[in-house]
Amino acid sequence: MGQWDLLNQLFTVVVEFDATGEVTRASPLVRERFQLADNEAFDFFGSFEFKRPARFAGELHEAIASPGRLFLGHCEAAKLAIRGQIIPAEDDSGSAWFTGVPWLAWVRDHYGEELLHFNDFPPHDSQMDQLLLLSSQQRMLEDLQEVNGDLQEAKVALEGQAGIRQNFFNRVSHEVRTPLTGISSALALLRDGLSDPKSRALITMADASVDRAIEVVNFALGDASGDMKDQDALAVAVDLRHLVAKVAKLFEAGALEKGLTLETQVDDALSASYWCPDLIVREALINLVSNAVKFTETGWVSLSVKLENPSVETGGHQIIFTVADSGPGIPANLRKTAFAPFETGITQETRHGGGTGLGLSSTEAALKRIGGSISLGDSHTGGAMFSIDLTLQICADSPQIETDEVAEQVYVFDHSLLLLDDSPTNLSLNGQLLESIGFSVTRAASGSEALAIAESSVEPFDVALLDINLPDMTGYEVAEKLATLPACKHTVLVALSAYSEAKEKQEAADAGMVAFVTKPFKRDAIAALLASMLTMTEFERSGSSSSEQQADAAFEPMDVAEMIELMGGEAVVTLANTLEVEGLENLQGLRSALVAMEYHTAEREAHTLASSCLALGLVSVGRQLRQVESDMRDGNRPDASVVPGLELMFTEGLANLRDHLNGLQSR
Amino acid sequence: MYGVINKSLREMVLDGHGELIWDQVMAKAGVPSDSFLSMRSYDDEITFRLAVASSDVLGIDVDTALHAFGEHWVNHTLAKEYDALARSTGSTMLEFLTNLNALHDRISTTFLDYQPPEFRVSALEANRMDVQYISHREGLNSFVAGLLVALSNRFNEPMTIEEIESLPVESGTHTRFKLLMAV
Repeated sequence: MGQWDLLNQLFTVVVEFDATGEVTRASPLVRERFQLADNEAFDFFGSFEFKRPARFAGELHEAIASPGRLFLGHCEAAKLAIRGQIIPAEDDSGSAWFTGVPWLAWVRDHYGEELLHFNDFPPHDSQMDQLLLLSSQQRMLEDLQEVNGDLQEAKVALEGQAGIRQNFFNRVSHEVRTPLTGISSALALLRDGLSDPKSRALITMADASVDRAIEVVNFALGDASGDMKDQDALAVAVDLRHLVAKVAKLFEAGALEKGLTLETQVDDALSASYWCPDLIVREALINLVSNAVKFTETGWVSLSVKLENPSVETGGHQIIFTVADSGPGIPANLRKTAFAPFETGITQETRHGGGTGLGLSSTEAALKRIGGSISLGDSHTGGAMFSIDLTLQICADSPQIETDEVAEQVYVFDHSLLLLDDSPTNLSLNGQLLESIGFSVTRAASGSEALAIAESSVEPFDVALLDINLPDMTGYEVAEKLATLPACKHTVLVALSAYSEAKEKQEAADAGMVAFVTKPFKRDAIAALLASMLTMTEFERSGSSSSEQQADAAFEPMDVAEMIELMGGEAVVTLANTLEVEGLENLQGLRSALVAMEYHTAEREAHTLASSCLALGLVSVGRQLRQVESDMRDGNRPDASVVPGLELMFTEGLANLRDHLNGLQSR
Repeated sequence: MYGVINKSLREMVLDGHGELIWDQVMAKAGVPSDSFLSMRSYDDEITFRLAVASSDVLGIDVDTALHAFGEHWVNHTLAKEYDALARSTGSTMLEFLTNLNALHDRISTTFLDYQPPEFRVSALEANRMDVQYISHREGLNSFVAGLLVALSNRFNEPMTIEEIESLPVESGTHTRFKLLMAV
């Protein structure tokens, strides 16, 4: 094979020059593109515009002087671009060859691919391979975009389904909560009218079943929506010693009944109070202690709280609550699922109690929401041991009222309340329920009716409890309009709804509503809430002056009469006896705290006794205690000299109460 | 095989019969996802299962389905997605088939899992062509027949396949297609 043939085998663009620079031969591709006849003269360098080498003048000698340089040229007329190099002849004759291939990138961009054929490129040339790779990558990109589009569509579809599911759960939740409200209220009223212990026990059981149903509804809704229950997670100032004692107290009777020892242990190193999501922690402890008592037949149950780490990164204290028992423990095969929903942990060996199996699951979920965790271990006797791990910030000052103290009070109100609910059942039952704790209730079945009542009312309303979901307008609109009416200028506006989404709570707040009550509600719970709201409002209205509130009588007989009507005389006498013992302890505690300048303790003692006194009609001393409490909260700290006067008012009021009770009983 | 083959098969069923039928094909083939990436290599088994399932669902025999797929590959996939490449490969059927090996050689240098077939083409007489198909795969003669029919249409060179002769091999396929050109 001659040199010319060899070059044509290796390259598709081959041009031969003689020493004068004339083209003597050109390869088929070149002849075809320039339509050259045999032996036709051809100005190769003059036909192309060369991009490289720069400033190349198109002379052969110049080209030969640049051995190894890459020549890049294009010819618009021939629709051909080339890439190659000059190879001088070895015989020093001055002749040379240009060898190369089509410049694919230029041709594709400027002349279109159709002008190139597969055979225009020799097998060793990599331009086609690169083209294949680039086009493949482009295709891969298109595929990925397509797949991404599919995923986006699937995501949108899934979100749509999630929205439908969310709406469904909201709807179901609302529909279930509404009748549960009726049942719960009816049971509370029914129990009031029953004296037979067996019947009351049955009502209590039915009420517990309602609680479980509500628990299931709340779990289903919370699980479906992932909704953060903002109110529940709200941190308030809590004395952990007090919290542990209160939780233990709830189960004292149950433990005693089973012959169990219920122990509490509190670490002395704990601070006086912490910012703590009280409702969640309290519920968690109640749930754990309840289970411990339920599943332990003999021995003991313990509840402890200790300071694990006093200086965690966030500046708070790492607190460990532990609930342990001497019961049979949790079998190994159930431990993995102990926190799973609907897992009751009941085996043949531990077949007691019952429940929805949502307790541990919802406890874990709730603790997780507030940054805590719960773990399961063994007690030293092989029973169950649950530990709650929480980091809490120390509360240097505690302006908040500890709600646990309020929750157990017996409340008797003397306030007017506007109740708005479009459900006739709930309107009737909740009206009666609120009346049973002293409210003077005016009922409205629609937003427009509520507004009409308020507009025509001469007497102001202390509270407006407004259903949100109404046929004619929303409860938010009602609240906003009520606030403009004279009768509602100082009304405490409270939202009432079977929905409990964060969005609705925010809308309620925006409409000027100071609290959000989720249906169904318990009498004690709403009483505690309204008590705190009304107290707050009264303080705000009266400022520091107490003269206007000061009653002449040491106690108000009408309040007690109503209470006797509600609770029975014997129960009120028992309460008075209890108040005497606890009241004197509170006053002693108040005195000691003031002497020691422990104002948080003093405030708590005043608050506790004030609530008890007001509940039993000892209005005078109750209000005075409230004033002392309010002064301390405002930073006006009294000394211990206020206590003797309070003691005198208390004993006088109590004596009057006893006289009154005796008088009533002797009739 | 590369995902582009599976995508083409999906396109054929979707275009001709709709999504419900394709869903049935997927279910019958037991292939969980049809999000194929063109230039990713998939197990041959997936392609075969899809082809067999397509024939089952459509109520046609597998050879008919493969023949239709061969035609679809040339008429739609090659024409739409690789048109420039196809045109540069050849402007006549003979040129195209002759250059096919060179094209496959080049693709093999970039795509290392690519296992293309080989075609040996010879023009016996003016109106006869002999195409030998050699592959490590089995059972795709009908697919190749479909390709040849569609190529003859693409280059407007009507022909009939006179004979399909399977040559003895230890494994894979070696088949001779004898083509009778109309001109």
